Amino acid sequence: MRNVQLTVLWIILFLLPAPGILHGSELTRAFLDGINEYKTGHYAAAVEKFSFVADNGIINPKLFYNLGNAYLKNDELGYAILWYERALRLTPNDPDLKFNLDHARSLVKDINEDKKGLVFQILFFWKHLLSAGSIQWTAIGLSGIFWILLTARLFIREKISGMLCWIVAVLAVGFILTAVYNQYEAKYIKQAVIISKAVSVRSGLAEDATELFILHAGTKVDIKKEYKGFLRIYFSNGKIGWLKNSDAVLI
Amino acid sequence: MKQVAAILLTVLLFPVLSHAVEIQAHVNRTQITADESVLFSVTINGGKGTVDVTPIKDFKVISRGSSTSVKNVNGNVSKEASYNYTLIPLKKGPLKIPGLIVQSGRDQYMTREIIVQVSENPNPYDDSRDVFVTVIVSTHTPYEGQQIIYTVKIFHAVQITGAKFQKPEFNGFAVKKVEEDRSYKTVISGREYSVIELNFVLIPLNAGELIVEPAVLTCELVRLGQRRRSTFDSFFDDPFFGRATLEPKTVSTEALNINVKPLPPYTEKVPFSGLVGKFAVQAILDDTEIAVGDSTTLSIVISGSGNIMDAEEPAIIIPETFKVYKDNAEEAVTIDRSGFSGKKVFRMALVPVKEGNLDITPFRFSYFDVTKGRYEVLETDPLFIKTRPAVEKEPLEGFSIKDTASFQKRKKIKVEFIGRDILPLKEGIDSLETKTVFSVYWLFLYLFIPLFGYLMVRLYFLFADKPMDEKTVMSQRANMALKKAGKGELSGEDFLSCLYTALISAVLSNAGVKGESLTYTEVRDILMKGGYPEETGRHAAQLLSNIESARYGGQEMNPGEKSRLLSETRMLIRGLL
Repeated sequence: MRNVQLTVLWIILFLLPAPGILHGSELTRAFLDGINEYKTGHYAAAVEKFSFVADNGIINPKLFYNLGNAYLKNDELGYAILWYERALRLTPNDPDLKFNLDHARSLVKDINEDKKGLVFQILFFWKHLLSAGSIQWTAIGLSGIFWILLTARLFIREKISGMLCWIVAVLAVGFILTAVYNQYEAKYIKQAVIISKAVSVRSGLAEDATELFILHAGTKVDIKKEYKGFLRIYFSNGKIGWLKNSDAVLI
Repeated sequence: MKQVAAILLTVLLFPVLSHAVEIQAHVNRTQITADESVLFSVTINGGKGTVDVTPIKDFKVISRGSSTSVKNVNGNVSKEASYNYTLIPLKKGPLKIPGLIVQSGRDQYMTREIIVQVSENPNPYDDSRDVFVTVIVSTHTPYEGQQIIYTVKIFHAVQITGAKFQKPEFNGFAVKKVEEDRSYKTVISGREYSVIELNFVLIPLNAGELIVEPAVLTCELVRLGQRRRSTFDSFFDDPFFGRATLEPKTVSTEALNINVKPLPPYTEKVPFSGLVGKFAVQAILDDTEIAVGDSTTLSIVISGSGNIMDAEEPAIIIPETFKVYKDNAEEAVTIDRSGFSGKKVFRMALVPVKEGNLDITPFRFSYFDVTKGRYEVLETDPLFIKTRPAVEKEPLEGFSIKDTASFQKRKKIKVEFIGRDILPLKEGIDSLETKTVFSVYWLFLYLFIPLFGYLMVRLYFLFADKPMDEKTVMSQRANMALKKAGKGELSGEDFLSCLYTALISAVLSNAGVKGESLTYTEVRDILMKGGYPEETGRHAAQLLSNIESARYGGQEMNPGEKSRLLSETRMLIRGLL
């Protein structure tokens, strides 16, 4: 009899929904609803559902990719590219994401004339192939292998090749520096995407400051400074100016 | 009057509080024509300061920088700062340079106002002028969104150097400069001028009264020397040799008023395309008769002059019996002295899914015609597609290497998109797993963990693993050599070498010293000193003798002999260690 009571108690405890589980199921429901809304052509509703999940702190490249899709179908090019770019930072090598982002970029009106990134991408190809998380784990793994090899050499020196240690050391240093640079880039090198349909970039912070050039939705810019509700941006080919905070969103 | 280049000290300022600072504001001329400019300077004697020029409304103010100098008059040293500006008149009549606030240290000073009389321009083509600038616009009353051409012509009859052209700010316009400037010569009242022509395309963004501020040219006129004493002087008159003098000159254009008219209310049923200018539209179909499953390309070409780049994708109604794959718009827009012109082509591939005939409803397109001043609705010609049943595919034939000729005839085709869309959603529930990277602190913590382990091992070796004594070292060496000899895979010489090492090391281990070789007598003596019976000492010496004899005798040992010798050595060494 006592055993039966204990079993019932355990079943009740198991079935009692913990707050975290409830929250998780709510997010799952919103995510699945978002997919259904998208499939039925209700893109604005899909954006709302996916945004609800993202606003609850879920950082996932697939979720961001879906948000990009929903925004693009909803004719909000700026936000679509914003979320694709956010996904790209987490999975730089996702072919679906690259395909959709390329398509979205082809719809952007402004042409970026800078070509400087190409050499950098070739020289540091692993940075653009692996996600920031993968680079961190690779750096930690290589570092661990290096120190294990060095420790093993204390015991069986003649069996561990010095050349092997050097190779692992060089690889480890490369990945550690890349991981540190990724951290620096995430914190200090800020980029944003224009979300308004057309934005006047001006020479100063005032509304009537000289209009220097116009950027359109989906254009990616470098953020040089934030000041009093304005962003000092760099576009390409030396084009610098100020625009309102509300016209662009940080990636 | 214009030739009088007297600097007028018009204002002497009264310091309010300070006794040391003296401020002067002056202009180089008080009477100018509308296309000339005034050099305005504020001098602060006895310190530095900041000059607020924002109250100047009748002129466009261009800063020419500042300079400082130190004067020594009768032993009294004083410092002087001068702030220089070029003032371009924005209208005619008596124009005012109001009193300006000068902040020097904690004190404020105020200059007195200066009046400059600006008179009507002389004949713009007055032949007495060496340099002048004219500006014209294609129309002063454009419609909102209509492109106008702003043309600046710089005339100079003498050589100029260091020319710097400052274009107006064009507030309220979208601006694009025509890349190619024109240079040519012209004769005005018998005097030859070189002309540089610059063109800008302006598109007013909103209706209303807009002012294009004056454009300003600053340059230096090259004045050749007047007196020529010899033929060489003419050669050295070249400014390169420094005989010529340079005369600074600033000329400007007049401000222009542009009255931008709003577009009239739109009443047509066709949606307005937003294009303003003069345009034409055309619909082209590649094939008018195709089979089900094949494709034909429909092109809508919008061409003309105006804001053609803003043309949006046309809304064409295609029946559901056709699949439509839209391509990216192709744009070919050029800019020249007549403004933007060119064409934009929207292509779509049409693939029939059923046989039958199709009439494509003519595409209607609305734009604002600036020459007529009204909205125009254009319509493309009606198009007709006849769709045949799909052709039965021929059965696949077997292919062998003998078919090389036919194989070579098959052309490879570059695959191109016939439609564009994005790939579908990622529906996996793993989309809800957060993927984050850890912070730099955690990264370094994980990196340091194996380093920490390595350092611990090193520390252990440093403190715990003390060096072994000679007895132990030699004992270990004896055992290792004996073990190696027992593996049976060594050659005869290596086998005997191992036995020799094992025996010598075992004996030396008893003596507690390191070494590599011993004589028979030394072996016997060491063992006897170590407390072993004389028999043992003699046995060890004899065994050493046997090993050396075999080693250096050069005779091959058979397995039985090797086994016996190894066994004997092993027995002895076990007794010694």
